Amino acid sequence: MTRQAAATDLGRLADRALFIRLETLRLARIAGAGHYSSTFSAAELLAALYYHQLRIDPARPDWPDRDRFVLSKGHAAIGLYPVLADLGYFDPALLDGYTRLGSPFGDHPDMRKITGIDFSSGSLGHGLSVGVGMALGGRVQGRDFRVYVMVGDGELAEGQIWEAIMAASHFRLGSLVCIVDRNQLCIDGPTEQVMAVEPLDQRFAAFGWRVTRIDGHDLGAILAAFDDLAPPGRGAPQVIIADTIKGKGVRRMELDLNWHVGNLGPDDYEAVRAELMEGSHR
Amino acid sequence: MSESATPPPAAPSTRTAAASPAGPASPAGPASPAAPATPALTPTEGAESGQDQSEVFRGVSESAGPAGGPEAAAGPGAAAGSSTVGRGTVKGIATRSVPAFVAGDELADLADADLRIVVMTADLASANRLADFAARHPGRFFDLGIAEKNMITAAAGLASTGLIPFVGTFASFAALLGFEQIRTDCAYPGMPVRILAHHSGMSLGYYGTSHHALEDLAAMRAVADLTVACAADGNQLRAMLRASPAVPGAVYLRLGRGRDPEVYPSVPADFAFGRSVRLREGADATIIATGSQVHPALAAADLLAAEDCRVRVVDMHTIKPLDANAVLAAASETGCVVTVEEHSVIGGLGSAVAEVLVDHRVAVPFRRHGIADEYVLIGPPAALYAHYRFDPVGIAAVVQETRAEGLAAGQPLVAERRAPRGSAGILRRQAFCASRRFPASAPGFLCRRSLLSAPVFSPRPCQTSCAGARFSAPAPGFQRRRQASCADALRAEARPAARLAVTSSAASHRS
Repeated sequence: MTRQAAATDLGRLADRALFIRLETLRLARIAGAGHYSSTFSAAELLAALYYHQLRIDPARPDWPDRDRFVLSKGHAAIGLYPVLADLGYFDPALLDGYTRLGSPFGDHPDMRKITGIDFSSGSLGHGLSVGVGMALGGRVQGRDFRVYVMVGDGELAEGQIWEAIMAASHFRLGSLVCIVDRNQLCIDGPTEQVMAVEPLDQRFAAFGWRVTRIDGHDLGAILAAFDDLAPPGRGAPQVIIADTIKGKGVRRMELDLNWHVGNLGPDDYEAVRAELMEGSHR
Repeated sequence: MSESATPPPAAPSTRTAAASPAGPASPAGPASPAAPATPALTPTEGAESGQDQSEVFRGVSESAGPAGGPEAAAGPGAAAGSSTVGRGTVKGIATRSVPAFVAGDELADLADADLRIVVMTADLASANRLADFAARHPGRFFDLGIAEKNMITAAAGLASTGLIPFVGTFASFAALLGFEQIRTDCAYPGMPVRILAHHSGMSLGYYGTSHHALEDLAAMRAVADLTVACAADGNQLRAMLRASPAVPGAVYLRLGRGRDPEVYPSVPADFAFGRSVRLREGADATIIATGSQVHPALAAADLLAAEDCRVRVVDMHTIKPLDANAVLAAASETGCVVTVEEHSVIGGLGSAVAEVLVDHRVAVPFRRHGIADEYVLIGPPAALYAHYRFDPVGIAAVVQETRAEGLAAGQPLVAERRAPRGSAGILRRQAFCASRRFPASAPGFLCRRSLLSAPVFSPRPCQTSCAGARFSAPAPGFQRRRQASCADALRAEARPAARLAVTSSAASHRS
């Protein structure tokens, strides 16, 4: 990729990250509340995955050789639904009924109701185990797809995560890529106060993983980390620890505990929207 | 172990079982085939007490011996995990006991043709004999170590790629530790994961409550889109495994200890989830049993027959969806229902049957026989079974008690059972009506009376005396006819004046 093409690609991804944040605002307004800040921290990661990295074909959502994506931190689904709609998995107008009675779209994604969701999630700590199973399934069937699992940092306190981390290296699941949205906060406070997860890179490494640590809002760094992934197959599982800021892009939300779940009033809604638009031009 | 715990006909003593030359060549630790079969225990400690649990982590891949029952193979010598030498036979022994841990073997056969089948376990490949699968399909077998939650969720992930994972571990860990993983990751997304929950109930004996699963049916039954079934023996388990790939969504299969005695002399060809099996006919009461309790229920029926009490025995292998028609038929045609399960009386088979009866306003003498709302004592399995009356004598006594309670409460049972249907049957029904506390037209009475008078159903006689044909297989169309008769009768009786909450058909209750 030429430097100019790369720059164009980064601009396109930044635009999609903004799209994710704006749609999160819109859907949260429909629902009356939403997980703003957990989605904002992952916006660049989601954009880079879906608009650059994943081997997917929205016209063939059941394509057996497609890459899988498991949003283990399912509460960021509000930022994933618009991406799937944008890519053509379903009619974007369906999102207008987000969380309304009978809607396919709840706060956490349901694979039986939403085309493009590779696995249902919501109960933290499960997603990496799902990814282990998917990677094993690819091996059994001789398929070379990758499995990407995005976990939150607070979620790492769940014991099942470490069962999966052990199993992934034990089975040498080189096709498994874990992305940690290291946005620093869980609900009750900073992870390091509630339940410390650091030194995270050393912990993963000690469990036999290949570790990359990047700025999770730097799209260039994200793409570089993707480019650096070893080819899928037998080998060490790989983790990209993405240092992020919970609530990134909206000053009042950044690293503010009160915005894990929140609701913006009409005036604030417009102000936040303007701030996001402005920030995207900086 | 008490003598009474031995299922009739008189089985060889457990000492004989202990002397079984069942090739004690455990994969974990081969033993000399010539090793003295008699354990280095006194009879009291070994054979008589049913003390042995030594096979738990080595598995039982072959018959434990001819005695059958949880009390079989009371000595360690008998239990020493024998290697797989064939199906259903042990060299030199005509065995009636079917090794129940046939899943590994059966699944390996199925996997030869069905490339979707994969098998997982959590450090129990020897105990549950899934090692038999691993030996033949190593590329499709995964031991996840002692990490059941990860295993169950990973199985769901595997299933999402188009595979059908069978996951084996102790029932206590599968259902209780892994409950949320089963609900959230298997049932809710509709993943075709099959949980093989072995050593269920209190079959792990003196390992104690941590290893018992007496709550699993209650927990599993509450999970939507989950099929829940209990295997009575190895042959039925094979039938379940063969039928399972076609079942949509997740399945919880509850297995016993791996040495369950034979109920089905061969793999039942007509097995279907949700369709119970009438193993024994009788008009005086019905025992509805599941899993490990089917065999002793049959033995109890034998004991009761000797007391001139003819008991129907229904193998309710599928707890969900429950065969509600069989429950209603049992109530209407035999007038007394006893459920037997190696499970808490809360939430399992007994509760499911009670719900059907109450939902249909059927009032008959009824007992849920299971473990009371308490933790069981420490003890070897056979002793526990006898103590908690899961042996034939205990079950027979429960049936008689239930009948007696019904009589005392003014709920006369069908006393003239030998009278042919016709005038005597009418008299019987009239006597039944007259002695009820509420008139025959009262809502609660409708179901039973209507079903009694349903003319279509005519139970086939059972071949109880023939060891080779312990049960009479339903004739083709049998089930459909029976369901239709119940539903039709219910509809016919659902008069507008009655405040009877009869569903549009009994079949619709099966959910």
